[in-house]
Amino acid sequence: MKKFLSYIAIFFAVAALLLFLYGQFCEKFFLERKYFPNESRRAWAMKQFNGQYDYAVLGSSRAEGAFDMQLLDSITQKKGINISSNGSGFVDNFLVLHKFLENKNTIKTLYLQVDNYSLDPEGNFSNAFHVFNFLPFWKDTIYQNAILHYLPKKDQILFKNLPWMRFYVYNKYFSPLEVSRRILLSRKKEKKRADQLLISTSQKPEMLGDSSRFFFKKNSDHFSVNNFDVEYFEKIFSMAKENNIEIVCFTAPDFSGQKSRFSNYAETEKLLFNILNKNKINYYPSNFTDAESSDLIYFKDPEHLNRYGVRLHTIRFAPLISK
Amino acid sequence: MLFNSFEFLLFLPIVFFLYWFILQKKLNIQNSLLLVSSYFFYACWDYRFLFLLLFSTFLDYFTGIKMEESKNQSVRKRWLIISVGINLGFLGVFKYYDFFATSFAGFLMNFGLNVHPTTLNIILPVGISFYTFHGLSYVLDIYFQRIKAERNFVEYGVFVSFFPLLVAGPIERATHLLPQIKKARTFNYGQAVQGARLILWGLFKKVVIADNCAIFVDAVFPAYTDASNSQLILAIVLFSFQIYGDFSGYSDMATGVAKLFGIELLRNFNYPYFSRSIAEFWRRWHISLSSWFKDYLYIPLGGSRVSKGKQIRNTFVIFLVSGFWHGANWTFIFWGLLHALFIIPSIFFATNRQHLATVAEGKFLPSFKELFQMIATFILSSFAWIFFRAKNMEEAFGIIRTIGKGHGKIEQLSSAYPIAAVLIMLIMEWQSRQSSIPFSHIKNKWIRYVTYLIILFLIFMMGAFINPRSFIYFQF
Repeated sequence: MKKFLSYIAIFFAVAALLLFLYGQFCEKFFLERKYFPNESRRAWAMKQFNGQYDYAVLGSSRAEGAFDMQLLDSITQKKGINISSNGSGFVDNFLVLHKFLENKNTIKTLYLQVDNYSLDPEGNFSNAFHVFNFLPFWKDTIYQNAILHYLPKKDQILFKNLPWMRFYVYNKYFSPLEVSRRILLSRKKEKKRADQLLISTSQKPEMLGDSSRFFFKKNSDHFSVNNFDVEYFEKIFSMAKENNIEIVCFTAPDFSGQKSRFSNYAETEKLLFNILNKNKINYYPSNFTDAESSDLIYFKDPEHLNRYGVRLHTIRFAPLISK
Repeated sequence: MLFNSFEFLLFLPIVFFLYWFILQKKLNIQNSLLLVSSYFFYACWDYRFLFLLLFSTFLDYFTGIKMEESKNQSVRKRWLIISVGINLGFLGVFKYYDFFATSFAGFLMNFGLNVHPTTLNIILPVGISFYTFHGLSYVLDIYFQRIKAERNFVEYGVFVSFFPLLVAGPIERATHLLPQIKKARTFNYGQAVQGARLILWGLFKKVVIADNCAIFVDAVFPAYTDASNSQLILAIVLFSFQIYGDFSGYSDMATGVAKLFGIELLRNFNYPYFSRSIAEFWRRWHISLSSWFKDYLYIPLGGSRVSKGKQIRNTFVIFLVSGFWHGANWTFIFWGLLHALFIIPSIFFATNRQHLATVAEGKFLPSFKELFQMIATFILSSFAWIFFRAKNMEEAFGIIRTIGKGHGKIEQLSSAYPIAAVLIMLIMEWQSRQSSIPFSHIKNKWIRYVTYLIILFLIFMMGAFINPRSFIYFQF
């Protein structure tokens, strides 16, 4: 028995040491900005360093795919950046903006995309929060507090006591394979601005007018607003204020049928406006007319514009930025 | 409480410590500890069904004694009918009632009769098929006077509910397990090491193979109409490995945990994907269930010592019942039927008893013929798995129809992890195919230790820990 237990103890001690050492490597490697992969918009946004921008766009995929940034820059003659990323609720938005500003980037005006979906990321996005994107910054309490909210109880205890275990629980994003992939990616030259990628790759004209795309099943037909998301929504305003950034909220167009699909669309929208009014934030609603909002020609799916919609939306939005 | 959960990581050392360090002197107390821990283990799933487990245990314990006490054959038969009837009754209500009710209503609809059946919609008590079969084998063995009835309720209780095998087998026999429970156990270093190896390898198969394959499979199967040909075929192949990794991984861990307590369980898997025919596959897949059906159904029906026609009838019966045992769905019955059809030619040509030895015994690689036979067997079993995995018959046939016509609307799915994991497993298992204990082919102890570390590291690096999946066979 003694022999068995001592072998088991030695085995686990050696294994724990190896795991700890790899964990320590991850602590350093995944904090290196040069290894943030460009193909992840969230990582790309957090990789930007020392940039000076007249304006930035922040939000979910609805904001990510709502602008042709090159066209917008050329019309307004201003330098902008789109740091929105797909599936981002306000917690993701806050943390991305925090990292972006921490990296010595400056913005004069922030255009924040707001809508009912972002108030209920749990029900509308595939990930309510992208834990894996922020895990490397665990030691910073700003990230840790947000991460802890989304973790199951046992992971909270585990990560607090053995922080390096987070790289194993979320091993898909931190494995040696991922390390080698990121090293290879870091050697590739950036051919295009990452905030232009969406326009050029995923909005194919042949998708135009395919109405079947408008009837896919939603996770939920009811918005459930979580106070935690509201808290981070308001934190974005305070962070902008602290950094002397003017904040303007807007809503990207969505297909008109959307409103009737949610039982409490109007109530949730009211709550959203109350928050904006309370914080005295300028708000610009969708710049599409009712007729345009019900025209399939502009939409990729019920919540996202296609390239025709993007062009129209960008041109309509430009005067707001030029002002 | 899953074997691959934190809770079990705490539970196992506590029970192990109490078992060997505090209560090792008295067998009765050790067995009581096993019984209490097993009931606690079960209660972690659903404490409401503890009563059912307790009732089923008591029923078979009591009827067993009554059968033994009676010298009158018809009284013995009556007790047997009571026990089997109530056990199967529970199984029928919890597992099959809704299926029969809806199928019957569907049948009547063919004659224009519109019936709205009352369904129970109750959850299936975890492990009910397994512990019911434990109990059935026990009372049948007493009836046929193969064993004596157990008078010690605690010992009988441990036989039925020993926690490593309670929820997904292996399906034990009283003749094999009860004598071990009744005998004083001493710690055996070799046995414990074997147990630890089985747990490590079983865990690898579950969290690295099965759970990674599941991510791909679960994305493709429900959206098969949008999948490409390669995605569909890969999903079918990966499901074959998912179910193997999941179930044999569970069995390995169960056997390994039992060994830590000085108890040997029946072997449930013997590298089934290295089989050269479907008949051989069934000697190597879910062995404890196949042998249960063989002993309590196939042989009483005459087995293979009857005419060819009856042999074929018996084969169909055993495979259809085996399919139905898995679940109340036509897909499982069709899965069983397919296997019966695959096996019939070998009965005709009397080749079903071929390939009794391990493939390429004593050789490093198989011959081309053996390789071809193994691939052909794998393709047949994978084809049958389509029905096992599909939600209903419509989905299964839909998948088959879509192969060759897939247009690939599903986004690109990464299959690198599951494929890499499956290759690692195949290499390791090919090397150790002549032994029931993993890693035993590695003779140099230092290389073996390093291999353990690599496997553990791979578990941590490749295991799917976010949203851990339950074991597939828990639903049966």
